[in-house]
Amino acid sequence: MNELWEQARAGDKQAESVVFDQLRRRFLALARTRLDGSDCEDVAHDACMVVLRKYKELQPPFKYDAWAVQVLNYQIANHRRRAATARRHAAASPDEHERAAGSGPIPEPSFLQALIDCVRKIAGGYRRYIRVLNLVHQGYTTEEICEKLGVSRNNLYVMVTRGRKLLEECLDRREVRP
Amino acid sequence: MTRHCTNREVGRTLAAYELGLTTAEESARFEAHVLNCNYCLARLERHGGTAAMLRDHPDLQQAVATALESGPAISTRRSVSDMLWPSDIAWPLRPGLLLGALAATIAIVIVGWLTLAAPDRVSVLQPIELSPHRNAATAAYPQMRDGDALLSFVYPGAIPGEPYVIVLRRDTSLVFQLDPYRDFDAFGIGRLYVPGEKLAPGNYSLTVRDAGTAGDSETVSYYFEITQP
Repeated sequence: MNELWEQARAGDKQAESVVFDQLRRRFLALARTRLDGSDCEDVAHDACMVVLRKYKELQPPFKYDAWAVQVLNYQIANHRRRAATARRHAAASPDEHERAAGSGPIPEPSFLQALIDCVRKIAGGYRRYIRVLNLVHQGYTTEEICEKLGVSRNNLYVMVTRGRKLLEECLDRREVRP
Repeated sequence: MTRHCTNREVGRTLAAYELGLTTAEESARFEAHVLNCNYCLARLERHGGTAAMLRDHPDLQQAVATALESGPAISTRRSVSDMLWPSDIAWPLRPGLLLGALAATIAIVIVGWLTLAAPDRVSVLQPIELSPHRNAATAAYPQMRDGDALLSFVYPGAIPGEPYVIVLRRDTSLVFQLDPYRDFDAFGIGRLYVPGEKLAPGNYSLTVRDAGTAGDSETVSYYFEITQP
């Protein structure tokens, strides 16, 4: 990827096109893990635009990947701040409230139901993963979760990886996608 | 989907990253990794949106809480597997491996003991063949410390399957009595298995008589002596 960055910076339009196609796809995938719905596409797009505007100003050698991820994180944080402000305003005004509610996560009902079913199913066989989710919902930090479950950080990662795999398999069997 | 992650050490944090469990450093490393790893990108694209819902959607939070409440109480202790094979301990020091080595050692010791010591413990069956003696002349046999004895005796005219009475005495005390004894063969030979501990040194008499009579004419006596080994 770094070579492509350098080629794009040197004026290769094709390399630039490839870099930004890949970057947009990856930004979108990362943003979807942290934000909901169509907001992800906006944030990924905005982050790409910032990178596109500024990457030529950077002096090589430069860690383009690390910098690009920082740009994305900044955009996500910015988006969250705006969303929080909108929610505060919505609480003060009923009209704004409807608009703010409309921009929230609206998953497909069938997917949401499938996800809930899968969570229930996994709770029957691998409750420790559901326990981790519950602790995450309650706002515990990773260290606190490890302490409560009596596991090391590595073991916690193994547990959530296994739980995610079970969830993937369950959702794949139901042929549903987010 | 690409078949392999380009950096498994970083790629294994994917699920933890999605749930926001990774440290800032791990998150930054994973995000930079995704820019170069098509395998992790594909995994994120496939179910990446699920994590955000799992984490933030109120219906799912409710479902998780309900699933935990409705099921049996969950143990917060480590599972047996986690205790035996904790991933944060080097392979040679993992308790599972040490326990396995201990079990193997014990197995080897037991097998060795059975192989080397067991032959000495096999009971030796000492045959004691008795003939009727009416003059009380005895045959001497050394005492068997670990072995048992097989007494063979002839009772002329014995009918297989018919009841007989057998009495074994040491000096004047009764060792045992069998009534009825039906195991004479077609040649009138009877056999008795006697545990070695019952045959202490001394003079023994074995008498056999027909169960239906008590007269001396039907009684045959056999005498033998067990001596000190």
